[in-house]
Amino acid sequence: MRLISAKIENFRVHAGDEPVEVIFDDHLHIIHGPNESGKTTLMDAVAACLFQKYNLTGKLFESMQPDDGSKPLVEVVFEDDGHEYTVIKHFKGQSGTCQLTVSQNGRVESTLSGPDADSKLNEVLKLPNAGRGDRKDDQMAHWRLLWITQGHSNDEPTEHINPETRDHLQGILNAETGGALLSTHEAAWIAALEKQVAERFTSTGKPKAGSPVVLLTDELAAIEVELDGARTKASAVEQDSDRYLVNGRTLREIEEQLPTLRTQLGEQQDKQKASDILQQELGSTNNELQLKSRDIKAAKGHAEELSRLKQALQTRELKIAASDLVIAKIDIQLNDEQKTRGLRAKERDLAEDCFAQARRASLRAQAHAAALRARLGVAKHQSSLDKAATHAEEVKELAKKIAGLPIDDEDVDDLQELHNQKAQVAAALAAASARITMSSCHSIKLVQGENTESLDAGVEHERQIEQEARITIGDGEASVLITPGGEDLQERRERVVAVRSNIRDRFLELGVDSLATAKQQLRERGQLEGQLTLAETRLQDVAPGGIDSIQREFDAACKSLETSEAELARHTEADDPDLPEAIDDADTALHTAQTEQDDSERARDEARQRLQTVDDQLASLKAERKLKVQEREGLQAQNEDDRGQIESLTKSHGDIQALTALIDALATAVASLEAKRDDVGSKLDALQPDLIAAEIERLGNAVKNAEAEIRTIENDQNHLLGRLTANDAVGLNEQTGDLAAHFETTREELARQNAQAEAMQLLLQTVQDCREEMTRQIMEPLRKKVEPLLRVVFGGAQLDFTVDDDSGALSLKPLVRNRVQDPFDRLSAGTREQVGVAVRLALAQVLAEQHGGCLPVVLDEPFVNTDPGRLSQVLAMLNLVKKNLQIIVMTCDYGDYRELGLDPKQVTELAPRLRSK
Amino acid sequence: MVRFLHTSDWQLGASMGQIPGDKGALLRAERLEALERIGALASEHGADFILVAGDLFDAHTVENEVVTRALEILGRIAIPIYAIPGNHDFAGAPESVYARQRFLDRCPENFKVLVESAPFPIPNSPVTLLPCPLMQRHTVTDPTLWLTTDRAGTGSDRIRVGIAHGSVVDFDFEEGGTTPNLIDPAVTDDARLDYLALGDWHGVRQVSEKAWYCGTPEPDRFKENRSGHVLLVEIDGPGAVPKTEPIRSAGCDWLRHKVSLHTTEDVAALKRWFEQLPRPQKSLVRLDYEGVLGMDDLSRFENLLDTQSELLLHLRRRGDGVLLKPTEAELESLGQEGLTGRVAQSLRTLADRPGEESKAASLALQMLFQRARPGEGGSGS
Repeated sequence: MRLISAKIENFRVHAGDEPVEVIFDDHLHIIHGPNESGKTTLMDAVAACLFQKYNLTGKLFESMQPDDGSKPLVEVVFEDDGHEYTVIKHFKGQSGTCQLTVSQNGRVESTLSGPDADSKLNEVLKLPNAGRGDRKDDQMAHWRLLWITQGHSNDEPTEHINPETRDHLQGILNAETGGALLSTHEAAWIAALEKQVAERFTSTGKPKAGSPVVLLTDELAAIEVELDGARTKASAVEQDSDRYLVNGRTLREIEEQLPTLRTQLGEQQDKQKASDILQQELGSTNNELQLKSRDIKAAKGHAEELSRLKQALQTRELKIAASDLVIAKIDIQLNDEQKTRGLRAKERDLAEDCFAQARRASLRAQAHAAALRARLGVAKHQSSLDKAATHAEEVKELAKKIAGLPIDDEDVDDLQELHNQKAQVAAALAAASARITMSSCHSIKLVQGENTESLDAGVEHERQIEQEARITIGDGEASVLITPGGEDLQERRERVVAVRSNIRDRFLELGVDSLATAKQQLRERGQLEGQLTLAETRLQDVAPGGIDSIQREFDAACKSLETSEAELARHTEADDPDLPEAIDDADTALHTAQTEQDDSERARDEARQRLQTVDDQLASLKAERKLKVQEREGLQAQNEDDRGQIESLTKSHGDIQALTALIDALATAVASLEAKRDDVGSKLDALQPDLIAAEIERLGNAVKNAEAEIRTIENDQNHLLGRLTANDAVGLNEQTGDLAAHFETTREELARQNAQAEAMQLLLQTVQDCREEMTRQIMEPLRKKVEPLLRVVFGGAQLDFTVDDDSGALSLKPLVRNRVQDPFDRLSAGTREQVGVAVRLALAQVLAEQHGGCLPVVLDEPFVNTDPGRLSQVLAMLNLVKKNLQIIVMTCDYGDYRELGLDPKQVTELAPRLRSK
Repeated sequence: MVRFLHTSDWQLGASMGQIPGDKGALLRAERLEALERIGALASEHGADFILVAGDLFDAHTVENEVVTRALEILGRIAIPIYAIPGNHDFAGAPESVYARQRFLDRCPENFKVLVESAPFPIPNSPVTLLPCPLMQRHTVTDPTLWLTTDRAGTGSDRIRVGIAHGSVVDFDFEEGGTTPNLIDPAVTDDARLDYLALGDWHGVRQVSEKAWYCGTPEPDRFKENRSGHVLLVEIDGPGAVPKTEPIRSAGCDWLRHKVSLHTTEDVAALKRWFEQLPRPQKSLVRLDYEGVLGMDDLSRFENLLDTQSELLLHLRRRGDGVLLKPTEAELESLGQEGLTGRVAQSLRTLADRPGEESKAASLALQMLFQRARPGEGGSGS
């Protein structure tokens, strides 16, 4: 379908004498004009003619009327599938008229009017017949999608697909892939399948509580528990039974063994009694034997002791006689040694006196020599100290003089710098001031600032005028006011004053009156510093360590002299001869005194040694004598003791002969007892008493154990008998069998249900996979239409469509650019209108198949949000589709579309319409 | 000349073949009815007495009801019945069914359980029974050992008939163990027996010229071992070779059938096999099957099994199962391009691929056909 032309009379702003007429280009037509020129109204009129009833009443009809109330008349000519249709609608409320002429190749085929015309028009435009009022959106078929009103180009385009258009669209799309997406039958069984799966499984695919699989699993577990219980019970009965039989056998065996054990125990107990009697007999014999042996031992002991004491007595008497001889000899030696000692003591006392004299003389000579040396040292240090003090005084004086001259190089440089500044600023002031030469036959008065100067007449005066000055000649014969030039004269003058002030301050500070004086002082200071260096060098030579060091050395020498003289006084007595005053003589006298001291010391030591030797000999002899005396006393005391013992032993046990007779008698008795003991021992050994006890214990335990075991087994048997003869196991066999069978069949049923469930899930999953694949395939033609358009605008982007499973509604998937996905509602307003228009153009191309391959698409200011940089691409997109569609654009800015290079007949310009009241 | 019935392993009170519920109860009832049939057969063949070689009861813990009913039936048999305890109902235990007061109170006079290993001359008969009762579940010594001792005697004027319960084959021999209650078959010669009536083995089996297992009178599993008989024994006199004849006593038929299903004809043949069964209500069938069928054949097969499950006393399904492989026509019926067609194609690819998912895919395919084929209800089940 293509719009061919439109003629509008009395439609809102398009009212007046002349109707508005547009002849549309087949492919691309631009209607432009400023605001209120009636672009939108023009296309609204076309829409009203095509889509609204001719006898429309109500608000829409009223809005179509111009202000003067005249009745709108619209004629639209269009072509569709080889036929040309001319629609003329005159909107006059209920009395409106409509005429439709259908022609082909210039030949009129039919002319219809009124409702027939409307009906036919609806049929051609694929519109449902509308009601009495204006047509609602859902009765607009695909025209809402293609007729994009102002401000709606960035809507999500699929929102404008109503169910009818959706069905048309799917009809066209599915025709390419074979049949509808789902038949009613398919939808029904898939819904049933989904319901069944939802009943049986959770969203994560696990069986739901209450589903057959879960019920059977629970049932199976319950049966298994019951079966295990029955089997356990059956097994317990079986085990009890076996144990009862085994117990019976064991009981019989034990009862058979018990009498034998008891007999063996009795035999062993008899042997035990015989053994006990023999044991007692052996014990008493052994006791007796022990007593006799002890008596023999005692008698032998006494005899030996008597004989030993007598022998010792004799030996000691001999030793006492020998000791008496030795003591007498020592006493003679002692007497001799006492005499020798008296001589040696006298010799020693003499040697001690000699040594004391020699030692004092030596110490005196030594102190005298030291005092002589100390005196020399004191004199020497006194001289150095005097020299150093003189030089130090000199240095001090020079330093004081230098301190009185504070000016240094820096101060002089500073003054010089100020001087130079002064010259510069003065020069600068001079340069800016006026130099005048004046002479007069009258006196001249020159007033410059606060200075007033009277100048003599008839003399030529030269003055520099640095500020406003007045020259008065004579008594006022002439008066001249001089204002020197130089804009910054005042400033220069202030600088001169400032520099002068600085110089003055600096002179005061340094205590000079001129730069020359300062320089003179600096030179004097240099000379004094040279003298000071010389004086310091001299002081350094005399006192390298400083004057304090020399003082310390002098003090030390005085101290040393004092010490030496005190020492000398200490060792000098009244009648001592004088000692020589020369150092060398004093040293010789000292040497001689020391030699004498050494000799007398040696003599004294020798005397002492000799005395000591005699003392040692004396002590040794005294000790020896004491020892001998003690030894002799000890021997005598022992002898006394032994004699007492001999007397005592003889009195109580008899003498040696009596003791010998007793020993012989006891030996005979012992031999007899030993024979008896051996006899009893042999009899006892034959009975093996150790083994008897072990055997009695073993057999006793065996009998006790056997009896205990019998009791235990009998108790167990009673217990088992009770359990086995109770009736609760009756029927267990059948019960176990039934449960086992039930378990098996339930298990098989569970396996079958599991298989069913798995298959059901697999079926549903396969259905879902296939549906998705089919949707993708069905949308392929639409995708193919939209992708070239997006490529033009975005240089490569993907856009896909989804179909809602329940409603079948079509919607956009996110736009994919550079692998980034953006849902439509997240795109910018500009991008939304570009994508939105592209999608509508694509949909228009698909829908055009119903209209002979072409459809008009009306765009009212479609790209207001598009930035100028992307406008070229958008126009290229329009160019791309114009051969398949008829694009009609309304805009107030034709400039945006100039680059399309349109032919004048493709453009309609509307002039502004002024509404007249 | 003497004639008697040799039977054993009644296993009264056993749950049969792992079949629960009413059908299991029916099978247990069939065991008791077998006793009626044994009585009738004894009467029909003029037997002088009946020997039961152990395992009359399946366990000591059987229901009192079973004991009472069994004793009531035995009491109605007109000839004496001599039995020994086997490993299932061994005597000597306090809980032994034979020590149960219910048994002692209701035991009929013609029924005697021989619990002593001692010769038992049957009154008014040339036969001396030499019973080898089991007094515990397992013995490591041969229960017939006493037959070769002086206690068993060697008199040659009477027909000597041994009764024992145990195995003649050492099943554990290869594993180095010992089968309990092991019987040496040479005892027939050593103890000069004219016949040894053996129990424990559930099928009819001749061990030697004079030693026989008679098997259980009512089978209880799908083993093909000639179970479901009693032996009619006739001995002319001491030293004579016994004549034996197995007589069918089973009330139910336990059948095994194996099929491979790939075509419509295979399913039809299986249907015919079921239809030729003479007593479906008394038949238990174990069907081992495998194969691949198209949707319609598979449905027919499933229907057939459903019907037979309800008709037979029991149908046990075994084997790898039948996988669905829809035919091209069946696939086409779902539509090639539509969603159902695609789903079917996808599932068939999965089903054809070997792996864990193959069976699930086959079953899912089956579900798809049941739901999605034109004319199907759509709601599935």
